[in-house]
Amino acid sequence: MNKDKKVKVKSKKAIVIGTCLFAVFCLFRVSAAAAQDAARIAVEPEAINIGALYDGTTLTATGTVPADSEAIVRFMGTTCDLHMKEKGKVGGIMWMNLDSITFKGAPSACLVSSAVDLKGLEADGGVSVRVLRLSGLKRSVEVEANGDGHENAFEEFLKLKQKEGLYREMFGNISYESASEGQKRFRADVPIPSRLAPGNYVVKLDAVRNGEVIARAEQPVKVNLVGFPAFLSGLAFGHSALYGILATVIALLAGLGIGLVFQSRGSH
Amino acid sequence: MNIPLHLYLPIAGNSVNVLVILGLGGGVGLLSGIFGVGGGFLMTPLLIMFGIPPTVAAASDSNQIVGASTSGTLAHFRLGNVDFKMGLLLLVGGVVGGTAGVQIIKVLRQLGNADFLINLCYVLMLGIIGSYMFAESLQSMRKAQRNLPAPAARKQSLYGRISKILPWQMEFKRSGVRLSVLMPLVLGTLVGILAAIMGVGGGFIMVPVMVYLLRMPMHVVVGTSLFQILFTCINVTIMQAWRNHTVDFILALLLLIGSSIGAQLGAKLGKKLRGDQLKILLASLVLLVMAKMLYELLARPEVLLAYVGGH
Repeated sequence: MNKDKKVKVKSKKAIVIGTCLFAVFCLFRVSAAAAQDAARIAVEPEAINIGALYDGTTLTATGTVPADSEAIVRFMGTTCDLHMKEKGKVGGIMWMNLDSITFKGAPSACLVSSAVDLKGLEADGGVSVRVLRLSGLKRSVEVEANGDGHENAFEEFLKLKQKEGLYREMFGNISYESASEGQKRFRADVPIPSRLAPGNYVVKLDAVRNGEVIARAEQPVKVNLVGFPAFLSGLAFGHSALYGILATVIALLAGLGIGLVFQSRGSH
Repeated sequence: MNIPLHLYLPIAGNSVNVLVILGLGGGVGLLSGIFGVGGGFLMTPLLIMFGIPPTVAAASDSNQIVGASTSGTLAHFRLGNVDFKMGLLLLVGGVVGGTAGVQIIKVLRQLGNADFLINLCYVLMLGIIGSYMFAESLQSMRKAQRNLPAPAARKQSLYGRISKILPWQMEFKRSGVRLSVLMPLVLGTLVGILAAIMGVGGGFIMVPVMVYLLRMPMHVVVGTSLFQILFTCINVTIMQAWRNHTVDFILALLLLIGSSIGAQLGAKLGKKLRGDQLKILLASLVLLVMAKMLYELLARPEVLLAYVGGH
């Protein structure tokens, strides 16, 4: 009896140990796979300071993505509602601002970077890569307008934002280093336009394989006004009447000064 | 050494090339000095072309016109070309008309299609004024070339007779005319209404009004118009900065440096030109702007959307 009991206990122990080992092995495999499918990103600079001489800058994003994936880096602004007028023909002859139209939830900026042409990635058949493109914003931006006939409003919105330089798709500005342990390092140089409003932005990284996003990461970027622009902006929005009077008085004095300079030159 | 050529404009939210803005200011200031117009109808579209938001472009332009017209008024004052009495009467009328015009535009906006009416108003006004000035000055230039003597006794028009019988006649020595006080007040009000509806300083309407309806000599018209524009733009700048936060002082200052120098050169250049030559040049400029606006009304825009608040 005792011998039988001992054998049973030993076999139970073996089962428990085996199960534990299998669980550890599974966990290891899962975490190894997860590690291989993970994405990491860091940005430099972490904050963009807009001083008096600011004329755009280059934001560098570095990190890792799975070796068999493509990195797509997006510089995104916070979402807001934009109120606009849509032009239409009056009397079949003249183009005028007619209907009011609001774009709800549109990001203030959207700069999409990739190493290869996004059209190629989209052709791989995945759905989620389409969402990462500018045209993919159509899913998240709500168009509110009075009347009918606004079918192309979103496309016109994209055109306007692209003309302003705040929405853009770029390819070729991401480079890779050779892969190791299932991961590859990337570097994205994102040109930030000069027409940039202060506020909170985010750099989003999506690793895409076969047209599907397999890993994501993001880093916040703060855009601040500093120095003289910060002072002037504070005065213009915080003490607007004083700012208006000062702007007028300085313009008057400058006009008088230039007038006097010319007078003295003219008299000699 | 690298000289920084770009400056960031905190209210416009964009950076600009300093040389481009100085050049724009200089070019428009030159025209302002020659013709006595503020140049808002030229400068604002040019600034929008260079990426400045429309509302900021219009308001900052008003701020720079304060400086440019100060400089221009001073230059014309030294040349004896400012009729202060006439200018103040037109200004009083302009303020009354401007206030009425703001109310009219509110009603138009509520009725809808206000922008269409504004643009149509622009094209018609510019077309009528430009064509009339062009034809009239061409005729007088031809007469001068042929050396024809001026008719000894011109038949007085109905308008001329009415202006003579109106009460409160006053001598305007600098302009060399005798008119009823009511005339500059009423005409100033009408120009003020149109200027408020069209969202401009009104120089390009005021100049022809002074020439053809108040019968002032062209050189005095230019100086007096600048004097009047100065006050209109002081009011606009303070109101826009206070209520709408759309005045970018850095942009205005850059434009001002260019335009003040341009206005001084313009005033000197204008003195070298004859009255009819000045008129035909201004008429050509007005017709050019009219043609551009008409094209914008007829041609399909590149983008069919515009931000609310811009022209």
